[in-house]
Amino acid sequence: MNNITSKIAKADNKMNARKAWGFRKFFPLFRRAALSLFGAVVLLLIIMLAILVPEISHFDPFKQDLFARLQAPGWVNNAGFTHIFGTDQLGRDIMTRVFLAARLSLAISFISVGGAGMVGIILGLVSGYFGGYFDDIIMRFADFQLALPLILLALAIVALLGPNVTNVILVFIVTGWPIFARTVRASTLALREQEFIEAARCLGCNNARILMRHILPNVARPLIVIASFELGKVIIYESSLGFLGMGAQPPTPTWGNMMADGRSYLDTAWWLTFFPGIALVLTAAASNYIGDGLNELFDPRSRRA
Amino acid sequence: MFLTSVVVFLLIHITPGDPVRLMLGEHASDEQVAAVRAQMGLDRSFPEQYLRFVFRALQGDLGMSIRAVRPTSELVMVALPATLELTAAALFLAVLVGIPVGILAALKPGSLFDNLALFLALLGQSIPSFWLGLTLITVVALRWQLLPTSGRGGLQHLILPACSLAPFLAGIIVRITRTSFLDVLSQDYIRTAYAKGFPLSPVLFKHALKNAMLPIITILGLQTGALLGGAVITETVFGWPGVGQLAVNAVHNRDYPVVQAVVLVSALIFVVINLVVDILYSVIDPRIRYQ
Repeated sequence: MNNITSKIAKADNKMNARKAWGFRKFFPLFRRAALSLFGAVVLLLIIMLAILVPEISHFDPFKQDLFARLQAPGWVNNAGFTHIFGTDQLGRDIMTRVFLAARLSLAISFISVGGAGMVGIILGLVSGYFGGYFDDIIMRFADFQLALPLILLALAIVALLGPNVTNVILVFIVTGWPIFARTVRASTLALREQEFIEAARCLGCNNARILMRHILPNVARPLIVIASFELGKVIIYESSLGFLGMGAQPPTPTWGNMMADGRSYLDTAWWLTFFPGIALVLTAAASNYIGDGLNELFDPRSRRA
Repeated sequence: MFLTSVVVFLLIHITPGDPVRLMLGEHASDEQVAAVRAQMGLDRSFPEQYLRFVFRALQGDLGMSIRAVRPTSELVMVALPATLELTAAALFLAVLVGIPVGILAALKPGSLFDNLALFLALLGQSIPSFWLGLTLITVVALRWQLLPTSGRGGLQHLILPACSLAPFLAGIIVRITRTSFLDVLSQDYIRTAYAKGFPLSPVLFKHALKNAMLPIITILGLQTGALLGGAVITETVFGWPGVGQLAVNAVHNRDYPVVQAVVLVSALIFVVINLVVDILYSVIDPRIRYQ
């Protein structure tokens, strides 16, 4: 008996030793934490710049100046102001437009995720707690959502209702709620049989109160993780829709339609597509890394070290 | 599938424009409009229209495209192989890169390779495929003059589009493979084998692989939707004549039957693929069998 036990212990040690092999024990954890912290900083930076830059910039993002069109980054105009990111095909300053677009993209993303989250949480709670008929119907709808590629559904809805910001948000709420609902439902199902819920019921709590005060807080953690990943996803999809021409219409800048405009000038003026793209990648990456870091934090299983 | 068709149909027919008017142009007289409406069956009640739609659809007739005045199903069938080609290529690339990286990362958790792999995986999920496509075009096709910028043709036309579609999926694959493998490797039977002194031999590895595959193909099946969606955008960037481009043009031209047909076909593909995944389940894991 002892022989086998000690052998297993040794094997365990061997495996754990492999895990820490080549690196200090703490470094991997620190690395991941550093990355998600970095992501948080980047996101905050972008938000701040989105709020500030259009205010303090010398340039009007909508004013066209055809003498100044397609100038490379760093070009100084007649009045002595530098176009840090260059100008676009109508002579507008790209940097100002990039951060103005950031406002719109970030706003759309937050509202969409918030909306989808609210719908999803409510439906998930109801579905998990009450079960039965509600559950079946809601889950059927959720499954059905999965079948349609988001973009195609977005295309269809925009085709019908017209390309504007409200419809984009609508599309994301309609397609984004299932993942929230599913997660909440799973946790609710697990929690609903617990004793403290039964105790609360005995004390006279009605169902709504139980849901809000007891179940919801316990479900919150995976929700935050999912919300940050969804944020990254929505930012990318929103700009994809903008790229296709469905979304905010010109002259309102969004990262997507800026890049669509820049497509014709790819070989002559690369900065038209590059800067919105970088901004987009940074923002999406930031939210993804934040989500990953939060995931590490909350889920003990994915920890290593 | 039923629900899908209902919703698609409803969507298209709630449209606030009158498609017949659009078709005939602004100068059509009211009688002409009424005549065509009758011919297209648009003046019947909704449920009746829906039934006729389904009836025809099952026979492969998905309506006439308003713009091209050709059967929609013909347009879709012509464009579909292109999209499938692109999607398959991207899937192939993503799997080719993603699974080995994921496995290696799981074998050495916490190592430099592992951290790097995860970093790149998340990065891949943060890069929009159209931006990657545009950047690739700029650098590879325009600067270096290595590969063509657009259109469909031989292998060299396929490389860039597939490369811009693949990273997103590859990121997902790396992460799910790694997680799945980590789970499997910590199973008791693996630990016991280790204790008995076996290294991670090929035989053991094969068993671990089989068990790890399950969540991987589940996720792959579910991601088909996202893949098709990504294909839509990539096709637009590269001028790839597939279903995605068809749909985008149709939306711009308010060509509803085409949009309807595309959405329906995509949903169908998704359902079929997930069915295949379910069947694969029972092949891979003998414990799961359908009675």
